[in-house]
Amino acid sequence: MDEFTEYVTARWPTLVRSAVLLGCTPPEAEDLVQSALERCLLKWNRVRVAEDRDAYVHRVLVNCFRSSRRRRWHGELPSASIPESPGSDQTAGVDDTDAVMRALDRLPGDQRTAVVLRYYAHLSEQQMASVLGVAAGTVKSRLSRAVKALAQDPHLAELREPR
Amino acid sequence: MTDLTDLLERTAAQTPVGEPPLDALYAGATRRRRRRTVGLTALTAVAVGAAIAGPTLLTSTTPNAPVTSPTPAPTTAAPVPPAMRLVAFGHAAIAVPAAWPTNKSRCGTPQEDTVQIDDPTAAQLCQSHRPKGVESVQLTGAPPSLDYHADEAIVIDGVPAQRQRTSCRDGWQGTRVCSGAVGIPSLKVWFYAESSTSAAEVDRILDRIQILKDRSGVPSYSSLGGPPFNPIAKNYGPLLLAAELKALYKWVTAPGYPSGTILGVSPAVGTLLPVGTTVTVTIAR
Repeated sequence: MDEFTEYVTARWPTLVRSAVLLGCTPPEAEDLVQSALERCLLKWNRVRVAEDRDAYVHRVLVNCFRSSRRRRWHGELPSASIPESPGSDQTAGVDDTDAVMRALDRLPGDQRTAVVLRYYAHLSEQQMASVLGVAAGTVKSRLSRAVKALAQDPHLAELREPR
Repeated sequence: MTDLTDLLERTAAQTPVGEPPLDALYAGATRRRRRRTVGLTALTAVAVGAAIAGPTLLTSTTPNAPVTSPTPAPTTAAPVPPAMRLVAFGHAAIAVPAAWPTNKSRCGTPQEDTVQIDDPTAAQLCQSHRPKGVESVQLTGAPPSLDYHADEAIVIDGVPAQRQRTSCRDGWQGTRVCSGAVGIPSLKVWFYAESSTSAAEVDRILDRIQILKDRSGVPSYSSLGGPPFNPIAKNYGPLLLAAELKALYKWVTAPGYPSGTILGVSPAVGTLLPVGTTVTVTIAR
């Protein structure tokens, strides 16, 4: 098994789940990670000697994610008939996953990315600064604001309580 | 912030993930490479055409004269050695593959190749198993475990050291884990290497220890202890001094921490710095 295959086999689930936490649907997440890894494979010689391979791959992933969001059209779509919308399922509010995802949805994009990279991908603040292309101080302040917002989220507070 | 990590991990675990589409990945990369090559070729053709056609049109009196260009000598790419990075406590350093991240472990047990430095998961009261084929080295400021013992005296770059011989034991689901250690008591550094590949890997890892003269790593403070369990700043000063690093103390209000407790250092523990660099030590007021 070559090095790239080994890396992908080991990191694929984490990368896909990181993309889901960033705000992708699971199929979008798989496409996004596939696209990011294709780019990494093209420059694998550079990736394999990078000081931190995970940070490098996450940087590509975050850039792909941002590009995909920029391309998305959020305006009105013309339609001959109004599509039926089932509305959001309120009962899903009791679900832990849903509560966490909604709490993440309420965060600004840069804070959400910071939380996912730090607390799910376990990157250090220095690595995050390199991934996001910002100063370490900016990373700290984004994290601090995000953590404060999440700490005040009533749904998450319930989840943290012992059951 | 373990609970946030836990929440995110629980949430993420709800997303079922299949096997990576390796064939599609390779095919996609080939497609991208081909697209890029076609684009570059087109650009090059335009540029070369412009470079040749311009002067030819301006100066040539024989429009059908052949234009030749020297053939570039073939170049052979040198094999790239695996990139390494140094992590150190004081002047004692170890070279590890640059791709190894820090503290990729669960409950203190490495889950992939990693360097463990003051691993926060080691304090968690849980048990985790080491997968096969995982190499790791842990740097500590005290003997790594109660089992540590010096089997032989060695010398590294002129500094006396101790070596605990590499030994192997059977672990979970037949995973054989080998471990060995090198201690340099005079520099208060111990390197504890483990491998679930082979004993030879452990020896290879420990062979990469070196003593540096003009550079020094930020020493660990976690093993200093203090009342009741917190490392206290007054014990850390001598370690920084021995490492020939300067200390800048930053006092902050931290309710719940006894005065003098070290809350953090910057640059991070293990970072290699030129001798004389200032390390900021954040302490509870």
